[in-house]
Amino acid sequence: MSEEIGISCQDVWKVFGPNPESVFDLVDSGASKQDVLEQTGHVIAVKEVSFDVHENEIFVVMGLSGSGKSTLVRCINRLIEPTKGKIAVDGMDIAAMNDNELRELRRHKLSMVFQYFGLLPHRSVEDNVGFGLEIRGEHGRKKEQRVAEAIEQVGLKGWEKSRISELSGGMQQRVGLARALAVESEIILMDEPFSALDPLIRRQMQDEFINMRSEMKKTVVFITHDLLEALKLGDRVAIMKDGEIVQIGTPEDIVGQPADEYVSEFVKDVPRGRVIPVRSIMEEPIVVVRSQQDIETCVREMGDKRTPVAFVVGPFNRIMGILTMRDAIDADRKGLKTVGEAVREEFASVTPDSMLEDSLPLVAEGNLPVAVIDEEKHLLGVINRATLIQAMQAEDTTENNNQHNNNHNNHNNKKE
Amino acid sequence: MQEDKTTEMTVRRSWWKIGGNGETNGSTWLVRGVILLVAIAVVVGVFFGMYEPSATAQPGEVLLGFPEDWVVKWELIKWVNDGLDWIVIKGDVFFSGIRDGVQQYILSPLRDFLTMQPAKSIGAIHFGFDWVRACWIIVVLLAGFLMWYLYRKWWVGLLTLVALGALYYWIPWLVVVALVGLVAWRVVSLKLSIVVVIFLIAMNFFGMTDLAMETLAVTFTASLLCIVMGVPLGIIAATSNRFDNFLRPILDGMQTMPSFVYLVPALMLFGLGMVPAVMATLIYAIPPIIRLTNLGIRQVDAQVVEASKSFGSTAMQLLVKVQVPLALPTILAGLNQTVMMALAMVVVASMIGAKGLGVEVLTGIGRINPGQGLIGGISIVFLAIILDRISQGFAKQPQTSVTG
Repeated sequence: MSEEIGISCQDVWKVFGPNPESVFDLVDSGASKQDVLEQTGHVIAVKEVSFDVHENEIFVVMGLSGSGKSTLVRCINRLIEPTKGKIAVDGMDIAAMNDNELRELRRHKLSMVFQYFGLLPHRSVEDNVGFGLEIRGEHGRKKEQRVAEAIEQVGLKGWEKSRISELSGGMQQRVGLARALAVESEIILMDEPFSALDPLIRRQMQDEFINMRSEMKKTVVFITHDLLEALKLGDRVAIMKDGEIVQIGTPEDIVGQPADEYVSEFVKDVPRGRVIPVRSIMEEPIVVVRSQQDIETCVREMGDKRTPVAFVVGPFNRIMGILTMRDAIDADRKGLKTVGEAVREEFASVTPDSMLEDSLPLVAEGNLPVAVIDEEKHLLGVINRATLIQAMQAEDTTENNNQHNNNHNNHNNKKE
Repeated sequence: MQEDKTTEMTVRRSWWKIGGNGETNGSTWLVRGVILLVAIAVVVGVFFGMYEPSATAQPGEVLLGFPEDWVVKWELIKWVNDGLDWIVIKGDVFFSGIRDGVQQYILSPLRDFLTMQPAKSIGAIHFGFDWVRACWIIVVLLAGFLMWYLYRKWWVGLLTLVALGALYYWIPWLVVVALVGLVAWRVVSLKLSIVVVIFLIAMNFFGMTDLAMETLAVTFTASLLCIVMGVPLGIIAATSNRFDNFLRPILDGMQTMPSFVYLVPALMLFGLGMVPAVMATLIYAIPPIIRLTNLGIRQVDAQVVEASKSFGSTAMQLLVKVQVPLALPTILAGLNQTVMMALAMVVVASMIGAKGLGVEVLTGIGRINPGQGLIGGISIVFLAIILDRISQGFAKQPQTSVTG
């Protein structure tokens, strides 16, 4: 199911100017975007962009202002006509649609959330939320029910009759979101939905958006200029520069293997601990013992391999606990025989999908490696302090250098 | 083929740099230039072809002063007059149709209503359809709705309906004063309400109320026609730059032309009476509502329009649900200006037989009777203030109250 393609863009171009087709020959002969602008006055906003968005995926397009990301998202519902290229939504070629088909597509398949909300100030919250339904001719109880549901989904219950001007920015964007949810479209296009909000509200909205998304299945194309937001929300992220996509990949790929200078320059600022999952740095546990094994052998093995801890597994290879060197020696003195009798059942563990940052306190607290276990309590690996520090170090060493850069970026964000 | 394209592009490129406009194609400029040259050539050709300078004009004379023989003033005047005569004769059916329509269906009922004719003509036989009564019914329903809307209580609306219905045969002047005062109070403020009541009572003392109502009838008729014609024109101008460019100089002309100039053609086309006054007023007063409708719709937040489109609205839905409601404050500001200009013009139009306060001023001047002129003038000022403040109040109301 998740592998089906929701939106497919192939070789999409958008050129602004009097005669857009004329620039293709120039570009073929090797002219850059800047050359084209100087010679013909045409602006290439989107250049040769291809990507597929899978069903029920959050696909984030990230780029700085002027990178063509907002133009690109508007090409998907043809608020802006693409100059060239094929865009298919659910397998239907949208460039070939006439006005009627396009309207039906917008009414049922696609909905959109805007940076500055795009709400109707003369209407109440519920009339704004019901706008999409009203446009496609729905009314009566069914409409009211949908509106009420959508308002509840975004947590605006009790505000139905309020005027838009009475709401804060964050609440206004909730209305925008509810309006998009109310039409029950499969695809939601979000054009920098949280960029106009205060940082605190923005983070709150991001978290709520993640929660909301896990409850319902939607394909989302999310536009942002904030890399952290992109990495936080995106199943996959496309980085755009000057109208072109420079890299598409999971957040882990983007941070771990930046495709070029531009991307790596970007991700230098990223706290890796927040993006890289534990799975990617875990190692084989050095000593794994079964619970029936006797303590003496276990102590000898730990001694041989110079490790302070053994991981104890029971039936079906499920982890039962850990046995530290000291505990083992104590138990041996007390005369306990098997590992199972001496096992310590409280131990630090993380799931493979949690981020490095989450495991940091666990690793820092105890002196022992932290176990990585899955839902069925299988021991997948361990995280050692040294590896963790090394993995996060890329950030630490460059942090000072990037301080200036960071400030610069923040400044840019504010301007937008 | 490949070569062709490149040369074509070079041409466009150079034109582009001259044009410098984001939307204009190079070839358009070429076409425009050619059209302009041809037009100039035609005008010059016609001029010299029809009015060849006579032999008396010596070549050197042109340098000293514009030769008398070249002046075509009287010919032009004759042209215009002949043209107008032709229109008057050929278009008689058309214009008298308009005249009768406006007179019978808008102006007379409105005047009868405003001057309280129904009360005065109890038992009078109306022939054909009783427009006075129809107007009354509409007004009563509207007033009932307004009261319900203002108070949000159904019984207030019903009470208004019943009370006004009963008033059909009996409108004491005090009730009129009270009603206008009430509207002023609800829409603007208690302060204005008091001022309005004082003005209305003063006008009764001056003996000007009926004349003021005649003036008001023409003003409202012209304003109504301005809305009916001006708002759609403004909407078209907002959606089409080409139409806007075409319309703008015409509106400039209509506003700058001295208002007296409209009077005589209106007289010729529509005869004596109120209707030519309405028509002259219409031409004079329509520009603001067109301009401000245009402006209001163009000023609607682009992202709201985009959002509406993204949910699949048709052009009509976009207009009715988004653009007009959001432009409404601006449109109402335009209406306010239109009403005020109409009132000013109606006074001037008394010269061609529009009854009302203007006649009073005109007679005052004609008889060298400054007192009569002044009292008429003051009544006009009172009327203007009442109209302006109340219509401004409507324009400044919060948007929700207008769209419900």
